[in-house]
Amino acid sequence: MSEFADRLEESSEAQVEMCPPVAKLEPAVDPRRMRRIIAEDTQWSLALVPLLRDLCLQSIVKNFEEKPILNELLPHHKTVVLEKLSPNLPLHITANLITDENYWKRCCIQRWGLSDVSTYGYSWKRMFFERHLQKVIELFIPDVTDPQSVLELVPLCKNYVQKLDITQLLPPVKDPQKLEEADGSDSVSEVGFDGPSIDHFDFGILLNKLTKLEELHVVYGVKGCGMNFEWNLFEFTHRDCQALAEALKSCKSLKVFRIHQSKVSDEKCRTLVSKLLDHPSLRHLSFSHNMIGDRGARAIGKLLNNSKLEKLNVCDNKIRGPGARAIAHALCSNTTLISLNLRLNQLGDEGGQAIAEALLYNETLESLHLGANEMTEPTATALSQVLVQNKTLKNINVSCNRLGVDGGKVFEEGMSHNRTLLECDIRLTELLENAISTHEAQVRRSREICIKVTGARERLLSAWTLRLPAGRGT
Amino acid sequence: MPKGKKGPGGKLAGMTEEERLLFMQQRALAEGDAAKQKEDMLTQFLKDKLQKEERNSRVNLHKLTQQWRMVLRKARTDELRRDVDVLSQTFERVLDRKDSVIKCLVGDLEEAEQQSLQALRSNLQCMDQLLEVHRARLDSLEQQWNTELEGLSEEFNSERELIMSQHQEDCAYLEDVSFAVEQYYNEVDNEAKQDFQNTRDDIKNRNIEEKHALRIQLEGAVEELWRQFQQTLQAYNEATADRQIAFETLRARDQSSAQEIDTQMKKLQKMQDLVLALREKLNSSQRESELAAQELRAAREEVTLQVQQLKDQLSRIRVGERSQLANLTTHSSAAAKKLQGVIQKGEKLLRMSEMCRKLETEQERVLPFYTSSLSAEEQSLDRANTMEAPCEELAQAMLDYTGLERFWQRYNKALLERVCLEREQEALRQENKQLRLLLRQYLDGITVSDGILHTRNPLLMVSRPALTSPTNTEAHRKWPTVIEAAHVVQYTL
Repeated sequence: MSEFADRLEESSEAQVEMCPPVAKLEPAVDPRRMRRIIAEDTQWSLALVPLLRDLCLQSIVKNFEEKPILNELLPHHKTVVLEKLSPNLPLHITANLITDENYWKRCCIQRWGLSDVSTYGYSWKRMFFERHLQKVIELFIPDVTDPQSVLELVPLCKNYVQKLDITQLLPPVKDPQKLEEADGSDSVSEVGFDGPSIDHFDFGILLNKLTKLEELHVVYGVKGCGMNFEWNLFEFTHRDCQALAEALKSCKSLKVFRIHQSKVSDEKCRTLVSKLLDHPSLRHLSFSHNMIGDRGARAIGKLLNNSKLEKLNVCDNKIRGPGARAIAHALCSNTTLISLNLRLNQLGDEGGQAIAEALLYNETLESLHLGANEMTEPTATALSQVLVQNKTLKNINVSCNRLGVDGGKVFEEGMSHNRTLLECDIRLTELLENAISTHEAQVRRSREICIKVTGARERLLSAWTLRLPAGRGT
Repeated sequence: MPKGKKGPGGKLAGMTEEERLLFMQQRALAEGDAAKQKEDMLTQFLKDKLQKEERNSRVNLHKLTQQWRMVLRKARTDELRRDVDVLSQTFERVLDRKDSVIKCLVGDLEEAEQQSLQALRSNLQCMDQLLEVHRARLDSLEQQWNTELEGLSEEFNSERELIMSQHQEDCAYLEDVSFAVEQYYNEVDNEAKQDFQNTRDDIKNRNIEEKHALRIQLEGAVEELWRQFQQTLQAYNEATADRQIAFETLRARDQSSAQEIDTQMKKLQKMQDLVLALREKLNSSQRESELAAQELRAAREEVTLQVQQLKDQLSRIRVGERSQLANLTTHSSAAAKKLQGVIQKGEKLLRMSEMCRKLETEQERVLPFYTSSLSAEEQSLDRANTMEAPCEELAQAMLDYTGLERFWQRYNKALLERVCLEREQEALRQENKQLRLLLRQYLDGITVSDGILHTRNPLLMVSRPALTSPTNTEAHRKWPTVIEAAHVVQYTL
């Protein structure tokens, strides 16, 4: 009998050894040994009364508006409360109190769905406030919306707003009643007829208060007006211009300013530039897609030397030869500008040659974009001279100018002497077939050149880019 | 030529008539000549004059034409000036219009240009943005690709080196090992071969010796075994001799028993056949009995059915008889009641007739049934009508009551009398009313009081208007308005 028992023990041990390695729980706790209660009500649980701590936290969350208690909590309680806080809480409570990114991430996602936070410096809070302020400004109707509604946002968001990208500005609403009265009244009241006090949102009230603002992009236009299109929706009036200029002057931390697609003419450009002279922090300036002519270009030239501008973009304006000459004159003595974009103007050969001459003296400009300026062979000659002499230019773009075959030859020759150029874009310049084979030879000879050569549209050659890796120093 | 005329005139007195005639003829001739000369001169003069006049007239004509021309020219210039003015005005107007059109077009063109510029600008901006996005994407992709490529190439290189080094090590190791193993095995192989040789020789020798020994041994064993075998064979034969005898006897018995068995078997067969036959008989008799039983059962069932049917019939008849009886009783009771009713009616009639008899007049008591008031013709007509076969149902029904003719006669008479009496009563009533009215009026006329004086009084009136009592008007008013049908038809249709 004892033998039998011994054998049983052995076999049982052997069996136990063969079981998978499961944690050995106490029988009372092991759910596989105890009787299990399977309730029909999925909410049922033995824990009927939540912990007092949980109740407290719940009430904190519920009454967060009246009593915002957050910083007095322990860290793990704080995370619990932050998880549960509603994203719809009023901003005047949460703005300066909550710094947790997850809360702001939830706010952003609830309001705008999935969005790319990398463009906002990977900070959800910053994205929320910038977009919120942007929306408020975009929907601001002058004389109807109370500017107080904007101003009261300022103390909440001034620490977080670094970039404002305004994509539309609403003009004042034309009040039909007022017009009717004016029609039927005497001349006396016509004289005293009040137009709208401001034509668009006045940035003056806002910019000097946003102490961290570094980028400002504005468009004076209305998005999505559809069938309600009127020209006055896209007017950038003198009053607006003056107000904006004052506002820019008052904002001391602004680094990037861009006003585009707003029909900025010469006069307005001069007004703006006059206030931007000697601005302490402006680095990038962009007047792209406006209507600036030669006088405005002269003003810009003056600005170039009276500020610390590093990047200037005046693409798609109406600058001609004299304007380019003014800018070139400024370039000769400029030491701060790094990138200049003059594409889609009407510089012509006169302007192109002026700029090329300036480049012979300038030693800081690294990137120059002269595309689509109606330039031809003389400019090519001038530029080739530049390529020989200039040692700082790294990126030149002369695409879409009819340089022609002769121009191409001259350019080629200049290129052969250059050792610092990294990127050169000569698409659509009609440097024809004769030039290509020699370009190959050029490429093999000079190692740091990247040439994008695409054949004329009729021949449909495939674009081949040649970029030789590494080796910056010859 | 006054001289000429004077001359001949002064000489007239001194000459004779012939001389005067001659003189006169001469004078006449001279006059004629002179006249001719004069005429010639005149004609010449006239011609000259004519010429002059012609010249003058031509000159004048020229002058005139010139003057006319001047005048006409003036008029013409005026006209032309006016035309020119008008034309200049129209041209100015046209020019203005064209100018305005051109201005409009220029304005439209400018606006269109602005719009196009706006659109172009926004398009360019969008394209720039797209280009930036694409460039960023491409850059990031390129970076990613580069990093991944570098990573991969590094990994690959490192792995490759690792593998190569390992491979080389392994190769070297394997070579050594193989060399050592070869040697070892060579040695072992040689030893083994030698051993093998030795043992083979040994074993061969041993085998030969053993074979010899075994052969001898085996031969001896074989002989002994043969002897033993013989012995046992004999013993066996002896042992089995009596068994053989027994065996023979048993065999004989076996045969006899086999024969017996055959006979028995045949008997058995017969018995079995008998049994079968009997069984068949039994089956057939059973079947017959069953059939008979079935027939009897069927008959029984029929009989029971018939019994049932008869019972049903009986019960039905009973029920029918019962119902008939009930009907009879009800009918009889109804009949009895009717008869009772009739009796009562008859009694009533008798009583009424008695009452009527009391009220009858003497004439009626004597002649209860008056002779018909109809004429002979009418009577014959009436009889013919009654003789006809009546077509209507009512007429047919009435045939039953022909006996009551007499009754109807008396009844109608009574009714007519009653109606006449009533009319008389009515007439008398009216008369009564009239008389009362007259009496009242008379009394009113006699008495003199305030109330009566105010009302219409025959004493105070001269003429006696028709005394229509107010009630008559009311009675008149009671009559409904009568409208002729023709009138209604006119206006309704």
